[in-house]
Amino acid sequence: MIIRRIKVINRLGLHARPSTLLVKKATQFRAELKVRKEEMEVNGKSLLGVLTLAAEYGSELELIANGIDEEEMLMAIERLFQEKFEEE
Amino acid sequence: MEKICGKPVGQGIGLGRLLCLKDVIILRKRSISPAEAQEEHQRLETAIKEANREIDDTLKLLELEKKEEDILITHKMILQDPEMLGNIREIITSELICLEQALMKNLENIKQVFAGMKNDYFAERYLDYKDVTQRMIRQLTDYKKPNESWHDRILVAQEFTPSQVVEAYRQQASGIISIKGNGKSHTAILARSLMIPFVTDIKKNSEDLCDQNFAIIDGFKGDIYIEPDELLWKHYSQEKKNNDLIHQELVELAKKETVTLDGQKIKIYCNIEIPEEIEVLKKMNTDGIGLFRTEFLYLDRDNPPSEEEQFKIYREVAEKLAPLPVIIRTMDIGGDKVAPYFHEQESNPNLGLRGIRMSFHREEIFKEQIRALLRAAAFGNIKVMFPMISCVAEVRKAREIMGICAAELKQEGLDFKADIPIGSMIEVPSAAIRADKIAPECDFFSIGTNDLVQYTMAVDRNSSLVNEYYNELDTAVLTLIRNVCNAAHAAGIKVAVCGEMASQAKYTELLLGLGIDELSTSPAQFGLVKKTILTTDSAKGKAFADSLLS
Repeated sequence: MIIRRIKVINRLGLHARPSTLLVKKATQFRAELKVRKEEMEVNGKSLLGVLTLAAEYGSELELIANGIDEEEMLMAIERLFQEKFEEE
Repeated sequence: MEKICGKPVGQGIGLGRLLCLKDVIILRKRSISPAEAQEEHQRLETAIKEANREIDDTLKLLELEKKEEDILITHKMILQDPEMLGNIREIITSELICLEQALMKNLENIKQVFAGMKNDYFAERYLDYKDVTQRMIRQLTDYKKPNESWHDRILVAQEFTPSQVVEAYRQQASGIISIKGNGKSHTAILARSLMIPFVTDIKKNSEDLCDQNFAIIDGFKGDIYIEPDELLWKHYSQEKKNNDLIHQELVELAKKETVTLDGQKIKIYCNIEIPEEIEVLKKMNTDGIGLFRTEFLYLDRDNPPSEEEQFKIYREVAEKLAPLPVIIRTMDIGGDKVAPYFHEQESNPNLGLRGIRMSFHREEIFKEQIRALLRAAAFGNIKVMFPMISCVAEVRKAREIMGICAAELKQEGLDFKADIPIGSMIEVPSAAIRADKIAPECDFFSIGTNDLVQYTMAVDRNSSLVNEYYNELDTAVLTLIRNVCNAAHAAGIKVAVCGEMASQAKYTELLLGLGIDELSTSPAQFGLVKKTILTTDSAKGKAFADSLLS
């Protein structure tokens, strides 16, 4: 299991499109993904889950990956965050 | 009991249970047994699959803006969300309710979650879930349920397509409630001629019209009664019986030959506006189509129809009617019928580019229509009629263009029929006055009474300020009609009336008395006019006409 902290740096936050991209990416891997914001923890492969975090710009998140390809998964997802979900 | 008001479109009375079609959210409240839960889970899989397919089709078929495409892709993600689908399954299994209800319950839960959010943007995401939920529910209630007959049902939907109206007619539905729409749509035209009780544009949300509720539809007034009391039900049952009797009489009548009391055979045709109306004609035993308007092909679109598109439609109509004749009128655009690609600024459009003048003005579009007609004529009995002819030179010019088209087709090696009968609409006073010049160059005449009266009396009958001056019985009009008949008979051709006067049984005797040979009515009035002919004596009609004109 790997845990990594990450900050939402795209202006609109994890709204519909970035959330969709995040979930889409996560489902390409076999490992499980949990996303935590403060006390709330959701399934990273569920759009409903990710949306309910209502993670705005500047939110601090924890990505918790667990499974055979957890390393690759987190790398791919971190890249999405860094690239601001191709937003700007 | 609840009363809902709308616009009356298709006349008639219908009683029956409501049947809400695909685009209306129906909530069938149904409890299930634990054993049935598995079945509901299976239905969920199907709904997801179908909803996915629908989205894929939209993505494939439509050129979407990036933003809209993103929304649909988000919706696809929602459809495969393991958490949400798990929740829905859980609701079905633990509460033992049907899938439709479980979906709504799940949506309600999601609404609560989003309602708690401070950020408006996130709170609005609830709408995506609502959309997807509705999409799934729609998949569960498909429009032609094979096990659910439309017989004796009152159909409800946001809007109906012409083919759905034909299907309703075939299955003998009791009536149609179209939540949106107006009296001018193709669907409305069709409902009118098929005589299906049809009410549209209702001031009520579809959610108030529940599947299975008993209802009455009054297509004369535009009223709908949901769960009516017994008294009202009885009253309308009687009304319906009376209507059915009249209807039945007309059906019986259809089998008879159309002859006047003194043995004169009269041909009686129908006017149609869209190809689907042919369905009606089968039962009516008409002598053919006396006026097939082609405007439906040109209006409400950005480009004129191609030759190929027209050819297919004309061919289908000709084949279905053969050996009976179909008189197809070339495009009558202009005046109050405008298409964006025809638009010309005119201060007085009714005296401007209308009918055949527009065809000459836009010859390239006219030629495509003529080519399509000549080609389709190889498959049935097609006759061509030109609107708004005002003098013989126009008939000659139209014939000349037909000749050019025929030569082109021949050169291209396409199948067609060259020597098809051509006729003139007589609706401009100058043409009526000099019908003697025009008749020898035509194979038939058809009088358009609406425009003939309007131009003779200089009255716009759509203007409430002057429509009292519109009088089809004015002796000037009648003189013109008689003159047209005399000129036509001298040249050995027949005269029909396809205008509104032909559809009004009160004028039948007079028209025949003036010398009219054939009538072409709207499908809904066909029976009544035919009935009138059977009780008309031509000598009496002639005497009546003479007395009016003396």
